[in-house]
Amino acid sequence: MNVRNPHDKLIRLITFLGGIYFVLEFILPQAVLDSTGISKHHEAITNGFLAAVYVSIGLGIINLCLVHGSKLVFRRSGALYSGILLAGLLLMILVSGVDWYYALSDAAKLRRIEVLSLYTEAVTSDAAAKRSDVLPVKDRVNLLIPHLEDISSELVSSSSTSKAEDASKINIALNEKISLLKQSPESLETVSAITPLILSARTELSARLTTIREERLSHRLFTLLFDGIFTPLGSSMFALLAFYIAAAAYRAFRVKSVESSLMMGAALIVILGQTSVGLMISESFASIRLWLLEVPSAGVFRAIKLGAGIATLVLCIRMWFSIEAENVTGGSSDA
Amino acid sequence: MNFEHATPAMVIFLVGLTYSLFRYIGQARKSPESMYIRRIPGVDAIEKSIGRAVEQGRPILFTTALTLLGPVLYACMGVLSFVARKAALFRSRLIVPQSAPDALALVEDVVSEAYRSEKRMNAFDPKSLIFLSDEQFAFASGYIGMVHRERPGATFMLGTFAAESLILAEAGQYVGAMQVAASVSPEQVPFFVCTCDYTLIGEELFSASAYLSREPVLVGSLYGQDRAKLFLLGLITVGIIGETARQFFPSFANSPDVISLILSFGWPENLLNIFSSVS
Repeated sequence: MNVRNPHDKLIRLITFLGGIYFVLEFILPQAVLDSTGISKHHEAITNGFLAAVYVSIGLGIINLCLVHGSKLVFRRSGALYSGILLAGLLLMILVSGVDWYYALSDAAKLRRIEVLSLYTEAVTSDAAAKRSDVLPVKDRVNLLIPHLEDISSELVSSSSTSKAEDASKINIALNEKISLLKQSPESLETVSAITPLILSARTELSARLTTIREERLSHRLFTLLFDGIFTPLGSSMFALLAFYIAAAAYRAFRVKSVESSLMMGAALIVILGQTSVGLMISESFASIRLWLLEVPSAGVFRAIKLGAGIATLVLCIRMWFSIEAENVTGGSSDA
Repeated sequence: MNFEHATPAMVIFLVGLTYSLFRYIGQARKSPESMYIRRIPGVDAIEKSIGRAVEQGRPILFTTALTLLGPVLYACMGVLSFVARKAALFRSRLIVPQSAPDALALVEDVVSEAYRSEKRMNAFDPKSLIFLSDEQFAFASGYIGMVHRERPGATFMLGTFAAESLILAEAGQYVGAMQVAASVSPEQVPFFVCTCDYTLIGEELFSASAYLSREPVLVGSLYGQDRAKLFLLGLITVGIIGETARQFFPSFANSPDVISLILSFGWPENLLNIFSSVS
């Protein structure tokens, strides 16, 4: 292997080894992958490769700050645009960071309620199995009651939202069960009846947290920046296509040669087959249009995709074996 | 048919393709003159376009648009290398706007290598390789602005394109640039045909660098992939004949679909047992 420097050698080796894993994963039958345990770890291995890729995002942010920060500090040409870019970057990171932080704390609240429902299920099943290695039912229920009261108070504070009526109903039922549990903490019937109530409370609180999240300043700011500014700007560019298509179609439909005449004829049939005017002239336009799209056009599409697919496959094999031409790598083309 | 994992037919095809690739690369290294590549007008136009931009004293613009780091970008790099060499040779300015940040590193390497090979490293300007945006329409708007400001004499659009293809091509058309496009996205080919002077369709993009450079590796791979296509063409013909017979001759109506049968043929149970015992 003739290489320019040791780094090249390392890159080629890693490429080859990484390639071997994915080739074998594709080639070996599923039964072999299952018996060797590869299937079990495949997702983790793929995530490992992806993690290495995502490191580049961090590098990209550092690079962006260095390049545009230096422009701004030394007031080079385009400093204003660099300033806007960095301000936009910082603002979006800040806004989405705050939004993400609140979403995390909301998820933790909901997770706590889920754990409580699992706990009540475990209390019932352990009692049925007469397990002696766990605390008695009475003690476990006493530990559960304060958490249930917390959920109840959460539901009370949600009574200001639009689903207040549902929340109140669940809260009344929950409080009733809490009272019963306080009176007879060993009642397994009450414990098992409380599980669906906890899950209903979770659903209610989830809806309430979503409403609160949408009303938070950080989320509204994020929506304004992303949905209100960024997306419409992209849509405006997309809207330009309508005019460009008209201009391009005008040029394409000028009958200058046999090819352009064929193209125009085909386009005309497709247009007529798709509009009510065409169908008024002749109903057969619809079937001709369908034939044009489903037979010649689809055939050509498949041919292009097949050719490009094989060429891509060949290039992948070349990349896997690090066989590249001098004009791309600047080095030799040895395998 | 399970496409998550290869069937024996797929493995045989892949092994055959790899063998064919190495065989023809070896042959191209031994006797490059024996390998003939058909002329493609679109590829010839690349050199013409560069010449035209040089004559007019206008810059050359090359973009791979939304192409991500992968085989298609690698195929584009062969053409970029050729264009950069010519730009360096004729002292013409080459501008390369990019949308993929990781691809920019590869582009920079290829262009600087091309300038170095022409011994014009002092003319290489890294600021001409510009990252615009990885967002589709932000990139398109940046590209339009650049085309209107710089007024290039030739533009090259190679790679993977989506809805922005027509926006990019119309911008070049507006400033009177000679345009060559190549796309592996069949949906975008009609837009390029309408707006560009020359369009390379599908795999022609992959063969362009082989045609331009005559590198044994590229020429050999082109031959290898052509043989694989011939094989597939044969398979398709067999399939067509079989399916036509099933449609028109009642006696064939209940016979199995040969191609599907070959492709879905599973691994022999004995082989699986051997694998299992080894593991």
